[in-house]
Amino acid sequence: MLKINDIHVNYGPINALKGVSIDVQEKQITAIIGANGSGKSTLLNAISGLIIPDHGEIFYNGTSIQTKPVEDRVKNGIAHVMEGRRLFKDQSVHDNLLLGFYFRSSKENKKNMMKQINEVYERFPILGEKKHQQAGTLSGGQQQLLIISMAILSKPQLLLLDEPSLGLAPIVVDQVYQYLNELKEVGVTIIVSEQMAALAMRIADYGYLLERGKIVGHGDVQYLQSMMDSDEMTSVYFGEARA
Amino acid sequence: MTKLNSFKRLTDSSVTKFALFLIFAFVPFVFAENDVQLFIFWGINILLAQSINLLSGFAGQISLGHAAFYAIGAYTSAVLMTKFGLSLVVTVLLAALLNALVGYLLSFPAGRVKEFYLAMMTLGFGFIIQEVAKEWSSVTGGVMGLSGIPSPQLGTFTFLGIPTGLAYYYWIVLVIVACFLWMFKNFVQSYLGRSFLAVHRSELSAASIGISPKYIKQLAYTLSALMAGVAGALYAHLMGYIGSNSFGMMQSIEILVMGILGGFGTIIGPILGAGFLTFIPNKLQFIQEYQLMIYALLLVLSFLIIPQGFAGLFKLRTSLFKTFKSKQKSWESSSSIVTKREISDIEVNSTDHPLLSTSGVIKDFSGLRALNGISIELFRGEILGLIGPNGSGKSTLVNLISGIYSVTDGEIYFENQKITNEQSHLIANRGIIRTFQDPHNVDNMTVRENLLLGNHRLYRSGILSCTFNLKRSLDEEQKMLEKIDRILGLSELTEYADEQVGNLPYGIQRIVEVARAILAEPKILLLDEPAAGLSETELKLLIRLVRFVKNKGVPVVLIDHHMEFVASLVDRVVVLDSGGEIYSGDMRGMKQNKQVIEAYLGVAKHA
Amino acid sequence: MSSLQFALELIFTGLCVGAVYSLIAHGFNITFWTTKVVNFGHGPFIMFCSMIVLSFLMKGLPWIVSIPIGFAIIVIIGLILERVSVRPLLKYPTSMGWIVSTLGVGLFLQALASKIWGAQALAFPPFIFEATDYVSIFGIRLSAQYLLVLVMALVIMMLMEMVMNKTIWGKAMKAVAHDPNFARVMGIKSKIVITLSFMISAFLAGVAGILIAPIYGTITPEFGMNIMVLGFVAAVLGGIGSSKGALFGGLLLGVIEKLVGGYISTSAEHGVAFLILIIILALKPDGFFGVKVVQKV
Repeated sequence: MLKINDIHVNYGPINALKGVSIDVQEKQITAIIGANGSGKSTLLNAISGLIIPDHGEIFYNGTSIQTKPVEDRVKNGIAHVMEGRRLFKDQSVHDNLLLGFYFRSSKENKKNMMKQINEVYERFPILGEKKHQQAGTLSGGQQQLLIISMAILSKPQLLLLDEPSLGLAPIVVDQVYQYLNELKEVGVTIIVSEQMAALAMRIADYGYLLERGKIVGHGDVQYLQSMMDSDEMTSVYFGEARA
Repeated sequence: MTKLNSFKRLTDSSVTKFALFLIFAFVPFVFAENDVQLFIFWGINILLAQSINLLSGFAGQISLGHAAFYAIGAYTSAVLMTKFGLSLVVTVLLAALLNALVGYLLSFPAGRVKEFYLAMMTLGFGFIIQEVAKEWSSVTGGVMGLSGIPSPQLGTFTFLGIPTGLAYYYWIVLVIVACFLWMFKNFVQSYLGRSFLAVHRSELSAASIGISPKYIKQLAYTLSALMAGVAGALYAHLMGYIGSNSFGMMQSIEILVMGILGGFGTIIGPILGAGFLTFIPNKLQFIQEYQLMIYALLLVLSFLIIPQGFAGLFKLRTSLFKTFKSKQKSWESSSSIVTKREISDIEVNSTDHPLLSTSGVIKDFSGLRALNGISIELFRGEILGLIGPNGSGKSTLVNLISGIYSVTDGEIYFENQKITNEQSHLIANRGIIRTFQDPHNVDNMTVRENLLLGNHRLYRSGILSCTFNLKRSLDEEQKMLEKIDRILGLSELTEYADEQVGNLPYGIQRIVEVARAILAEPKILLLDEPAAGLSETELKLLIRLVRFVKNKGVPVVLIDHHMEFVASLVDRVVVLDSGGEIYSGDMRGMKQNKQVIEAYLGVAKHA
Repeated sequence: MSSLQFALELIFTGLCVGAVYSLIAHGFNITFWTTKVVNFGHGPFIMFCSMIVLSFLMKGLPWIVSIPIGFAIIVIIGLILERVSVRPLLKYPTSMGWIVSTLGVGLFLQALASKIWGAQALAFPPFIFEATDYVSIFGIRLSAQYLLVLVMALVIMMLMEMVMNKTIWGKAMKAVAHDPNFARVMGIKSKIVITLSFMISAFLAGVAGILIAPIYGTITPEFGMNIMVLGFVAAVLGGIGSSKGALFGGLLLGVIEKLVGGYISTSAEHGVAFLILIIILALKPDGFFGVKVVQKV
């Protein structure tokens, strides 16, 4: 569904991605695992269009998209939850949802706006309770759920999440991950980037290990588990020569 | 490159300067009175243009009401001569001093605000002074202005008792302008001039090598106002009459255009800009009708099309350091600079007493606790790695130590003294030097000039010494240049020495920044993610530089994510997670520590 | 006239003049929100719009036609400003570029106005009310013109508030101001929103011009520049970026100015504004309602 061929991204002066190729199967959860500075965010930004790679190709459902601007990509089935729990913190929960919906929906869809937003309130009653409160006042977990709800208002086929667990308590991470599984059930393809490999492994069907801009390994859940068990993962993070 | 060199050689040569002076001295013999007057205007405009150049071009303090300084100088000199009969020398001197005072006072509110706040403030300042000129009629003559000012054009002007005509006045102005240009060049080529550019580029970065932005701004305003005041005095006597209309928005804009068009941040630029604006409108009469329109267009387009002005267009750049014809000094005198800053406290000299320590440091950012009671110690001669996942508080800790943030609670000690919450430039002056995640070099200075900045806190010569090229300033500069040569060799930067840093690849810029920090002769070096974006060869070079520092007994705190790089350098590490310390010890132990692994990789199964 | 009446009249006049300052401050705020840029030619925009309206009035066109034409032209100039003076210069780290460039555009308008309409003061006809019309409240005579200005300025600001807070485009503007990248990811075309903010700012300048010109009685090419600095002081006093601040700062400044003018001297009026600017920037640069920005290192 998503195929990335050998992309190079020079983020300003730094070589953030040095020839990365990945293949994402639809209706699966694919994890991108790596330490800080490995290039996870850059990769997701390249997929959604916030960054245009200097070299390489990105194919989405067979079409080449690497030069298309963000605004077009997010109207065609890609949704991106950026790192750092980015929200319109100075506006209300309801307004955030409105903004999430309005600019990516087609004209006919706009009629369903209130219906879709109410569905969000049904799924997460706490958001409904706080609907007129400033989004900045919500707890970390509530914000994360709000952001994901905003992202899927455009009914995307591909959902990108950049370190969704960052700064969240374990129980809250469970909640978020449970929601992601629900989305997978309804047919959304998901790419999650995480620094904490152990977390990502809980929901991933497939994983890529990213180290300083290069893919150093990839495989299904069993492969990832064996990497964890054999301490291979720590050397990816703490940098030791590998066989 | 050769064009750059030949121009530099030309401008540095005293023969050229003397020849030019002689040529200009002949002007009154060659040109008619009207044109001589124009040349005098050019001289006055040069002073004005260099004045704003010093403040805005070098120190980066935008000035949209510069005519105000001009006005104060003009009125002061005019009134003193008209009402008190003082001679030109005295009136110019007093006008200069008064302006210096006004500039100095203005630097207090102006130095506290940045960017467009400052712009509006200077705009308002310009308006106010013009209003004062209009309203304070008893002194300034109000809108009608002051007439009857002794003037060479009216035959009422005397200098040193001799009645002076236009030609003599021209020579007086020529001498004054030549002197000021000489002083300007000396100042700008000294460490003070370079520090102006450093503050312009980044106040944070300047403070990190010991430059006090506040002091530099005070100096900039004072000297700039002084120059404009002298220009104003000379103008008043040239015209014989001044009114409040001569010092309004239009004049402020003219001064701004002269500086920008000529080229901010250079020595020759404003001379060209002043010439352009003096002669062109005069020779092309039709322009006068559209003068404001053209100036306005120039303002709109100059940053778009020729951001470096004429000087940049013709690539006319003088070096920003003093050059010497013969290398007379030898090595022992330069080594005295190095030993001068040795740590004298014996107790702190020993390895079992920490040179730096933090005690229970807490830092909150509007409700979010970034650091939760950190106590670490740093001993002489060790390299300490400070690592942890994103948001763990590593940079915050370094920012607290270097004085950029203030602590919420806790203390920081250096050489047995409390340095908590001290200002960053003071902390740098103690010897705690740091680098930033993005190298903040001054892009349009060369590598050599940027490195010279590193020496800033070691310079001892004062303003007068620098401005008049006294022996002390020259000696110091030469020693510093020799020191630079050695670092250039060590950091493999010799081939780039005279290239502008902004044109060099990122990795080289990073090395320049680190080399600059080393030149500051730190007692402690804090490196914030220096390895990011460096190639393999550059990393090796960086490692070499850090080891050089360590071998001098200077401890280093290193933050980085590049684990192999960290492992090759550090003696021990402290690992932070969510604001707390979770491990302290050697790296091998860290890689096997359960808590550390969890912090990075997370827990596999939720308990 | 009793001293109380005198004081009240001063305060009333101050509020009306202050209302215009608030409008100008508001104009500054709008572009500051979306791009952290302030138009240094805002004053001349004010002047230019009123000049255009005046010239159409003098040609015999009614108010109802002249005003929209004036607005349309000034809004287009706002669009040009964003494209030429702001967008290409935002990529530089220094703000000197756009400051000087927007100032240049303003000065160009000033020079152009001088060329087209001459440098002397032109009489601006009264808008709805004559200069001598007044309303009596509690025995104080309140100039009807001034009252109109006060009411219209407040109405416009309320409308702006409503547009910003209730309409989706207003929310989108707030969104772009808060986080332009995230806004793009939500499908908002940040570039268009930014251009729109400059056009709205120009519109507000035009409104300020129409409101204040009849009160001044005459307009000159320079009057925009002079009043701009005052509007800026109002913005800083209230806290740049805050609409509440713009309102508060403007009204407060207007009242202080008129009180100083009434009890000390009219020539000190503007001097006091500059003094206020220096004091506020020295003591509390965020103003009364400003939002503090934490610098990330």
